Amino acid sequence: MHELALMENLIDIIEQSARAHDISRITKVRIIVGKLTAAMPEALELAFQVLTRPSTENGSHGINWENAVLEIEEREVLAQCPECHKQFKVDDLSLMCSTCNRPAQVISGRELQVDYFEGE
Amino acid sequence: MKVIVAQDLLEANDGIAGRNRLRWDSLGTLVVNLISAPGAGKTTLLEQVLEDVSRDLAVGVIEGDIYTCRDAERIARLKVATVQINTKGACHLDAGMIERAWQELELQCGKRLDLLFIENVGNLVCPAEFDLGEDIKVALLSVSEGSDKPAKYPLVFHQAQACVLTKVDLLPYTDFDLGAARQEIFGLNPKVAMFATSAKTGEGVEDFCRWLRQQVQVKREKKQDYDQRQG
Ligand SMILES: [Zn+2]
Repeated sequence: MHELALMENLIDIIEQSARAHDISRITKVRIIVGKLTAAMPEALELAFQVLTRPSTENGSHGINWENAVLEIEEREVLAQCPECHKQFKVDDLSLMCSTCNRPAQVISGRELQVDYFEGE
Repeated sequence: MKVIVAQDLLEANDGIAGRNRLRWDSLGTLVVNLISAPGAGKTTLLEQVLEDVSRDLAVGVIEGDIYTCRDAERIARLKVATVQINTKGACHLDAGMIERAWQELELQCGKRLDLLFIENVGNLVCPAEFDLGEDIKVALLSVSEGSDKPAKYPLVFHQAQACVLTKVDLLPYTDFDLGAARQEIFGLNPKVAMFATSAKTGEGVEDFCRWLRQQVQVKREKKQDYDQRQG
């Protein structure tokens, strides 16, 4: 359950940015989560709910998180062959290029990132 | 109002990890992060490895544990400099915890280390996400856990430089499919170094130690190159 730690980071990052933009209420947060991470979307959602629940100490630094919605975009795992430069979706857990039989590089799927937030 | 952030959730951790890495690069210390599920035999393997490598290398250990310090006590018995981290419930070590533990370890042992082991908390999933500044991640998988683990938790097997299968003496008594597991791990990570070990028979431990010594040598040469360029 390191998702809790990830969501604590999320709250810190957003509160810092919100203060810089004079925003006091967060309405929506969008994050990007690659499928080659150890983070489970359901666990991220749960952690977000726990941390933004009113009456907890979290999120009480003058920023209102009540009714804030978390949106998660999941990214597929994509790899690229260094030989033929073909890009392919890794869904059978194999990073070998089917044409050249060479190990390919992961180019997407490792994201764990705040995309944007909305507030007022 | 919409604010584009485009920032990594692990940015703070990765910054500290980078600092740790610079420090260990400047010292020429090879850092190995051991990751496995609980009960995979991490501490037992580490004990056997330490007995071998500490004969001629200066070695230290940072022990991560959720609540107890039993593992650290086991390691300290081998007269290897050891610092314990209690994560107080957290399921992983992060770079900040390691930075503090390293300061303590440096004070305690007072000499340059060739090799530092970090025994992560027993969890195959979460620790894989946190860069500690290590050179090498080692994923341990015991044959009693079942051969479907790589498919279930691909990240750690994708990132590891070495994968150590433990308790292979139990192979005849389990339905662990060694061929399938190897194939899956190589699929995720074609360059990984793979070792099949048994703490009971000692099989494979020597091979793993030999590989570690090679990595220590590589790190040493890197530091010498670096010093010459500075020098
Ligand atoms: Zn190709």
